[in-house]
Amino acid sequence: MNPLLRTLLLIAASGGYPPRIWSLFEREGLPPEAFVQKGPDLWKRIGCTEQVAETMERLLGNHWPEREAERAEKKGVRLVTFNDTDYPRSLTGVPGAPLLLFVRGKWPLSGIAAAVVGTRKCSSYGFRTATEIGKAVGDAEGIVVSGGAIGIDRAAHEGCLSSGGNTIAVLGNGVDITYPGGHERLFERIVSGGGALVSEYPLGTPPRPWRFPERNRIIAALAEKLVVVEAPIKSGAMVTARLALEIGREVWAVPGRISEENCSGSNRLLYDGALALVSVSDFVSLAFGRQLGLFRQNDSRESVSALTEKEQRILAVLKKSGERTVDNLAVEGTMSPADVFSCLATLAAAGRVFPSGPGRWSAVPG
Amino acid sequence: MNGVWGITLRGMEARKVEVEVEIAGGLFAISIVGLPDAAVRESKERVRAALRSLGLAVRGRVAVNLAPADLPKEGAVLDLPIALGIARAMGSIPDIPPGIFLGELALDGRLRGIRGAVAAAILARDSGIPLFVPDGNLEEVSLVSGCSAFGAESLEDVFAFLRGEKELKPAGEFVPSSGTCSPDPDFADIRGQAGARRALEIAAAGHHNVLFTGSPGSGKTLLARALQGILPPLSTDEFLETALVRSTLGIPFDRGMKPPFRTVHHTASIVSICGGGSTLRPGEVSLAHRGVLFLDEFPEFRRDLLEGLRQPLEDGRITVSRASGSVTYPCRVLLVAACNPCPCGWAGDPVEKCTCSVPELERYQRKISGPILDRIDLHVPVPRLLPEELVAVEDTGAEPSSAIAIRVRNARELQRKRWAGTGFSCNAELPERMVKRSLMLSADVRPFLSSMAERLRLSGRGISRVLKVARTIADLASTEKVQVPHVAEALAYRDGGGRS
Repeated sequence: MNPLLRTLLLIAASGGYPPRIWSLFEREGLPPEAFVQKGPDLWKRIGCTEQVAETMERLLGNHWPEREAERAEKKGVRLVTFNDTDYPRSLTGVPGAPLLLFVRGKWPLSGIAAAVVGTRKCSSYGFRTATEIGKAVGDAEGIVVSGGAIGIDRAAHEGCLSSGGNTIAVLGNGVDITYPGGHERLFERIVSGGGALVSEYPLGTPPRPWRFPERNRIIAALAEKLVVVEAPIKSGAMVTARLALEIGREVWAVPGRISEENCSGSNRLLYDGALALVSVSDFVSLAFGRQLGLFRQNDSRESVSALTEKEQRILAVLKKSGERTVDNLAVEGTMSPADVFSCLATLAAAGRVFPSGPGRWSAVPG
Repeated sequence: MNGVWGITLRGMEARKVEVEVEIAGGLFAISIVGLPDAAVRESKERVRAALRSLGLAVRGRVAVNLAPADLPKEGAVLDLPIALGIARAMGSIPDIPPGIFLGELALDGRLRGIRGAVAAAILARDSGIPLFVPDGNLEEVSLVSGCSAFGAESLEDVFAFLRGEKELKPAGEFVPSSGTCSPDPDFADIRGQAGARRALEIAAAGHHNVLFTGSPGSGKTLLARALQGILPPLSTDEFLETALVRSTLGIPFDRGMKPPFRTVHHTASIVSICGGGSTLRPGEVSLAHRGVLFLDEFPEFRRDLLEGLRQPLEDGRITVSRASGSVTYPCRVLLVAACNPCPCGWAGDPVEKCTCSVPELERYQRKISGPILDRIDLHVPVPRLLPEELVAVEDTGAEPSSAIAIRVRNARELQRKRWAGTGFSCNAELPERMVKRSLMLSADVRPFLSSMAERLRLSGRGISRVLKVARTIADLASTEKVQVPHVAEALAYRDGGGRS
C-alpha cells in the first residue's frame, strides 16, 4: 500500500484536524512512511493530543487503513490524495485544503465550476431561482458545486441535472451515507449523471453539526465562482462566502426582500460589494463567457407563440400581478378552474410557471 | 330431542349454532358448554329471570350444549335459543319448527336488539329457513331480499307464536328513505377554493383518493366534509354491504342511502382502524366501505398504521389475521387525507412566517413522502385565502352541491356502463394492466404524454395514474375519448404538481 495514502487515511480517521496534523509533520522534513514507522513518539512530539495518538495507534493495530482502502474499492469510491494528478487544481495551495478526498462518481470533472449555496429553509422563490441558476450553469457546460442538503443545495443540483450538466455535492459525512434521508434518488442521479459526491471524511462517518462548516471550505475552494441565493446572516452559506472571499473567489449574491430574515445575509453581501445576480443569463455570460441562447438548441422553454391563447392569458396575469391562486386566475383570466389547471400544468412543464406556495402560482423569474 | 338454531358471528359471517338442552334431576344449576364467551355464560341469569317472568320456574340440573363444540361462541345473541331450548325441554312449548332465533333477553322477557342481524339474515336466506329477530332488528334484515324474517317484541310473543296463538310481524319490503337530506356543509357555502372544489368533483366522479395540503384555517376539513354531499347515493347492493359492517358492530340502523363518512383521529390504534381484536371486529376502514375515510393531520399518523393501510386501499378488502383465525372485511374507501405544508403549518403562506427548524422540515418531508402517497391520485394544495382575495372571488357565486352531484352521477353512470362485467365500477379501481388498453385515448394524447413524461420525469405508475384521472375528467365532460386538455389538467394534480 502506498505509504502516503496509508498515512493520510490514518490522519483522516484520527479525530484531529487533518491539515494541521499534516503541516506539523511536514515541518519535520521526513518522508511519508516515517509517519507510521516512527509511531506514537513522533506523533506526540509534533503536538498530537494523547487521544488522537491513541486512536491512530489502535487503528494501525487492526490494519484499519488497509481495510478502509479495500472497502472503498468495493464500494466504487476513489481515494484522491493531494499529490494525485487528479487532485483538483483549485484546491492546491489553498490553506487548509483537504489532503485526501473520498470520491463517488466521475472524477476528475472538467469545466468552470460555480458553487451555488444558500439556506436549507428557502422560499419557493429561492428554490426556483437556484434551480434556474443550476440549469443555466449546466447549459453553459459548467459544473455546479454545492452541499447535499435540502433547499438551495438540492435546487441547484436538480436544475443542473435537468439540463444534463455535471454537479458535485461536497458532503459533511461519508460518501456512502445518505444525509438527509430522502435524498437517495438525488445522489443517485448526481452520480449517474456524470457528477460526483465528494467528502474528506472516511466511509461511514455520520453527519455531525460541526462537520458542515468545516466542509464549506472545500465548496468555497473547489469553485471559481460562488453564488449565494438566500442566506440569513448567521448561516453556513455566509461562512462559505467569507472563506471564498479570503481565497479570492468571485462572490455573487441574489438580491432579496429586505424584510425577509432569509435574505439578510445575501443582501448584506451585496452591500459589502458582492456582484449582484439580477439576471441569470447575465450571470452566465459574465461568469462563463457564454451567451446562453446560442447554445440552447432544444430549449425546454417554448416560445410564446407555441402557447395556446388561454395559456398566454394565464401567463400574462401571473407576470403582471405576481402570485395568484387558482381562484384569482379563474376570475382574472375569465375561464373555468378546469381550464386553469390544464394551462398551469402545461405552463409548468414548459418551465414558465411554478407553485410558489400551497395553491399559489407564480411566473418563473428571468 | 331436537335443538334450536341460533348463530354466532365469525367476522362478518354468521355461523349456525345448535342449542341442545337436557334437564336432569338434582339441585338447580345451569351449565353451558361449547366454548361460550363471558356474555354467553352470563346468559343463564338472563334466561332464568326471563323464563320466571313468564311463570316458568326452572328446576334441576340444566345442561346446555352449543354445537359445533369447537366453534367459539360470542355475544348475547344466543339468549333466545337457549331460553327456547330450556322451555322445550321443560315441555312448556310444543316442538320448535326449523328457523334461526336471535335475541338478547331482558330480565322481564323483552327482546333486545343484537349485533349481526344482517349476517344472520343472509345465512337464513342461503339455508332457506325463516329468521326470528327482535323487533329492533326487523328493518335492517328486510334489506336482505329473499329472507323470510319475523320480528318479536318479547319472549312471550315467541312462545305465543310457537303455540299457534299469535302471528309475528313479518319483515316488509325495504324502502330507502325518500327524504333527501341537505348536504352539510354545502359547496354553496364555501367561498373560493375553486381548485379544491374541482378536485373533489373529480374525486367523487372517479373514486380517486385525495391529499389536501394547506395551512391551518385554509378549509381542508370543511372541503373534505363537503365531499360526502356530492357522492352518488349507494345502490341497494352497496347499501347492504355497508349495513352488514354496521350491523356486525351493532351500530344502529339508518335508512339513509348516504355513503358513509368516517373521520379518524391520529391517536387511533391500528386495531380500531384496520380491524381485529380478540373477536376480529371490523375497523374504521371497513366502516367507511363505499364511502369516505378522512385522515386529518395525516403526517401525525403512525408510520406502521399508514403502511398497514396500503395494501387494503389497493385491494378494496382487508384481511385481519389473529391467533383465533382470519377474516376478510370489505374496505373500498375513498381516502381523503389532509396535512399542513410543514410542521408549523405556515410554509409558503403570504403573510405568516414559517418558524420550523431545518431538522423538523427534513423529518416532515420524509414523513409525508411515504409509500401511501402512491395510492393517492389527486394532490391538491389548498391556499389560505387572504381577505382581499376572498373579496375578489365574492361575486362569482359558488355552485351548490346538488348541481355538482348531478355531473358526478352522470360521470359514474358512464363508468358503470364502460366497466360493466369487469368486476369494478369506477376509474380509480382500474387495474394497472388495463390502463393503456381500455381508456380510449385520442390520437394526439400519446405524443403529448410522452413529451410531458420526459420533462416531468414521470414513472410508469405515475403515467397510469395521470391517465386514470384524465379518463374521469373526460367522463365529467361526457366525451368519449380522452383529449389533451384532460391529460394536461390531470398532470396538475399529480404529486408535486402543485407543491413547492
